[in-house]
Amino acid sequence: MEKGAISTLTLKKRLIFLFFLFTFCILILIGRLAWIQLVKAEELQDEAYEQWNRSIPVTALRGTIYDRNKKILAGSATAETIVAIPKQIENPEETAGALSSVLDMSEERLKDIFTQDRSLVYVKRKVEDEASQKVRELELSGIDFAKESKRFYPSGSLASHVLGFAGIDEGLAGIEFYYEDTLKGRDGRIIYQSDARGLQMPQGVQQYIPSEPGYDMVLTLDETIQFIVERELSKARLEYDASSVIAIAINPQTGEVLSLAKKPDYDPNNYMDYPAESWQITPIFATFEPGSTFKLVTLAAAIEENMYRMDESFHCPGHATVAGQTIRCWTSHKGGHGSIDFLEVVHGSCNPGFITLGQRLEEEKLFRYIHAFGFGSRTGIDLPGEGLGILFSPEQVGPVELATTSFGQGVSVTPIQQIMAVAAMANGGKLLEPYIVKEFLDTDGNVVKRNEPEVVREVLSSDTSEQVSWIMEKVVSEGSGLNAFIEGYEIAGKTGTAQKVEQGVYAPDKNIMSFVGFAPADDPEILLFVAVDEPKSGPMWASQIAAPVFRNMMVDILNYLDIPRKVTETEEARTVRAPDLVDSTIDDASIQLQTKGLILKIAGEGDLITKQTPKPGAVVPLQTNILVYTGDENIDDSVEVFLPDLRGKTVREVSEILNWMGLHLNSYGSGVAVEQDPPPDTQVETGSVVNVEFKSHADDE
Amino acid sequence: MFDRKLWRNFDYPLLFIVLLISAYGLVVLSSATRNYSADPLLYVHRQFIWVLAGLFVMFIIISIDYSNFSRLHKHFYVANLILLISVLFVGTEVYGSQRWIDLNFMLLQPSEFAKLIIIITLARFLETKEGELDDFKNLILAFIHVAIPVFIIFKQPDLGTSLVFLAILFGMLFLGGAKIKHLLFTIFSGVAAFPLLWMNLEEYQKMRLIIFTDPEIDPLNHGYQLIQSVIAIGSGGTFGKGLYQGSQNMHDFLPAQHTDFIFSVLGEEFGFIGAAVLLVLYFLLIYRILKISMSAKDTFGFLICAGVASMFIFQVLVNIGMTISIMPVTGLPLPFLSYGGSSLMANMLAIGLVLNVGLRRHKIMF
Repeated sequence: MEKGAISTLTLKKRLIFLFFLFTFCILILIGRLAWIQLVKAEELQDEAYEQWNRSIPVTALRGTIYDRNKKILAGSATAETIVAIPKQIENPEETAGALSSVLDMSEERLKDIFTQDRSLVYVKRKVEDEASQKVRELELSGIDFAKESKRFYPSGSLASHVLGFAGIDEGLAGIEFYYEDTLKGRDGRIIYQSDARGLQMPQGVQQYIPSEPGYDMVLTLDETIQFIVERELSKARLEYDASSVIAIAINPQTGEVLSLAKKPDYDPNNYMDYPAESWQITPIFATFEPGSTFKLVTLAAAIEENMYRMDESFHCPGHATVAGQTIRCWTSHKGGHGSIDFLEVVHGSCNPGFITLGQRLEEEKLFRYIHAFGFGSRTGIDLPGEGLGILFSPEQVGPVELATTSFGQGVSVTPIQQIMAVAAMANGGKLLEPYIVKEFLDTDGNVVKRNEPEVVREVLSSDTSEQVSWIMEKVVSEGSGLNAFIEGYEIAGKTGTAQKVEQGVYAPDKNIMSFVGFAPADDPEILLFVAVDEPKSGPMWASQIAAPVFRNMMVDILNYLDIPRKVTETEEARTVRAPDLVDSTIDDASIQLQTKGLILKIAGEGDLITKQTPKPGAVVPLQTNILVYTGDENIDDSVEVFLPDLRGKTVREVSEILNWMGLHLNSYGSGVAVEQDPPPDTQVETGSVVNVEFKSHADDE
Repeated sequence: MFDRKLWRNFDYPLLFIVLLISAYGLVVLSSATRNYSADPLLYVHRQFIWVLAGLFVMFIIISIDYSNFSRLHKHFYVANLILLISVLFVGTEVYGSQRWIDLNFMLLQPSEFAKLIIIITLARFLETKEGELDDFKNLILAFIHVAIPVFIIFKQPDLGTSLVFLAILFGMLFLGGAKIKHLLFTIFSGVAAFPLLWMNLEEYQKMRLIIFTDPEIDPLNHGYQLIQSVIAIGSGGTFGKGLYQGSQNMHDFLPAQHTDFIFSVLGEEFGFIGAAVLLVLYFLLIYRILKISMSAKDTFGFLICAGVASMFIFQVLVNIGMTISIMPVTGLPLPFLSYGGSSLMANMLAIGLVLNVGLRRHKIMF
């Protein structure tokens, strides 16, 4: 070989060098291949899979919610959602133009959607059938359909706080939220394989993973009872101009919630039209100072501890002095209850009497019972957002705190806690866990799970329970609860009037009137709690405001539940003599009527009552409305009068008031007054006509 | 035509390796082009015909004593330039590059054949300057020799092929005995002149270089190829997904999967084992070529082998490196695997040249 000047050796060296360099490079390639194909293979396989498997979601049909009689409260229908596969849309502008009017969306917005760099985008979710049909007819490439479920609430706002509502993807409030996992079911999907351009491969495997519908639910709620309760709440809210009214009805033997309501409410079909505060489940969320209804706890504890004898005498001077501090009874202005016995202490809701009971129990026992009755802890109801309430902590409790707690001041409880505590007194002493869902059903209607009554603890002996019930029955049949009395039934109950606390102090004009009671007293089937929050008209006494509302509900519920009346010895209706209220203040009049079983209805703006009907001394049936006028005494002589606020009054009442004032009524509609012309406080000549519009509960709000 | 006794020197292993790689290529190609047309084997048929045609011209080349090419070097060089320049005028543009001449039955890519011509003419040039390569002037001349055709190709534009010429040049200079000092100096001046090159790069070429440093910068456009290729190869795992089972290939996620990125298809469907087999085949191919170069009877033959080896080494390393994201995207075909008549023919001719050199390594004894 002739290689000229450069030595063959050098050439050989260079050749070998090149060969090894190449070998080295090949090894680097193999190393790199090993890294991505052996080490990172799994990761890259997932990435590859995701690239070509695309899916269209198929939302599961949400479970139906029934009331206890299988009436639908919340149902689901399938609705179509329009999706776009941007890569398959040939001309985004044209497609946007075609869909704009059908879907009522702007072309720019649609174009934005169609040019998104994603494999699948929602165009519009849960559209009306008509619209999706129209889109279907357009046969646009890259536009597809997915089935989703759309929620509807056939009864509108009925039981809205219990049901809550479901948003586009999930339950957002109430039962819908609490049982989201159960109701939702499992979404399915259609998986299809696509190539890099996002085109569905004709030969690609299409896989359909069906959705699994959620479980149906049967609630403990009774639609009819709910309806009765809501109807009366609406009426009460209108009549007393209350900021809100709430009610809970349960079966005190089981803890089943039969009704839970609050007004104002909202329509879950259009929940977005209502402020978020209106979605709150006030009956389990809000806390309030219970006032006299809380005295039942002290009473029950004292009986259980053998510290209460009905016939033991007691003297109420109108106040009690505790640790140098004077605590007044509501009867203080007339010198107190005087000499009474301990049964009357309860009937008359005497604060000093209950302070004495509290002092006998002492802090340790009283608070043990308060906790045993479930105050200070959540009841465990299957609804979201339950409140806790506030009790004095052991360090805080001095003699004054012990005293106020024993008659229900300085504590704060939720309505649901209050009603469950009373249920324990009514049912033989068992504190129950309230529940709202009775059964879960699968699609074939088989019960897959059942919620059973659950006893949290035994609080009272059945003897004590019986005694408390008996005393409460007397409160209604003879005491401050007379306005809740229903002829032929033994109703046990207790009123509660409390001032609201705002920023740590009692707000003078803000009260909560409540009434809790059950029937029949000896074997209760229904327990009902009613609270009227911040009424702005009417006498500020629970016996005057909450008791009649309770009664109105109870009458219809007892009827509906077919609970037979007891045929009592006196067949005729109970009557009372109307007291003379002229020249009394409204407060005095309320106190006079407290145990009479008469209902005060007020017209006019003055301080003193100038007229009343029925006239003093008239014998009237129990729970008759006593209409009083507090305006100028000499109406008859004056030419001009100021119009009172007539809203919330019945037709009969309005016509009576106007008659007194020498005015004429021109009425529209029926029910209670909602609108008047001229408006209140207008000066009008006697003899002029006042137009008043009446509305019944059904079409309020 | 030539002495039958020459066949004793014929390097059958090299031919066998080439046939193996080509066959492997046809199999992979059948998968890569399965969805390209109604006839799933259309591209395979075409490529197969090119393989046969390539073998045919290979044997024609073999039959002509390579010393004849040395004599005709001027004609070759001029013809080459004419062909390359004509591309700029009558060429067909594909993907923004004007590299092809439409011959009706095929798109001829003169730059592929230009590589061979430059190997031959440069070998001739270096042979005449044998022993004088330590003179820097001769080095400059060698550079100019290559630079003229490269400049035209660069203007087509075709960065990848241009770089192959540089690889050939350096390989041949290195093995031709140029001073290491000079070569290093040239490389450093090249690096120093990089900004100048950068300014002359097309926007997409710059982007490819940027993307190489970080494909995620622009995963849907420029980085797309790199990311998709790595996903395809990586998801193949150890044994691959099986022929026609590569989802990334079948679903069109791979770019240029029958040409520049055919290795990604192979990696996805035949896995690490399949890829390693191919690398071993290339390794053996280069080994045989270098072995033949050692036995060449003259410097001209030796340098031809050196040029061909440099060409294959560069293309294999850069192409495969690109598909597994350790080299920037340059758009080079993978020898004997990528679809394309010109490339395949040129590669066959290159092998033919090497076999030719091997065939005539000794003086013929009677």
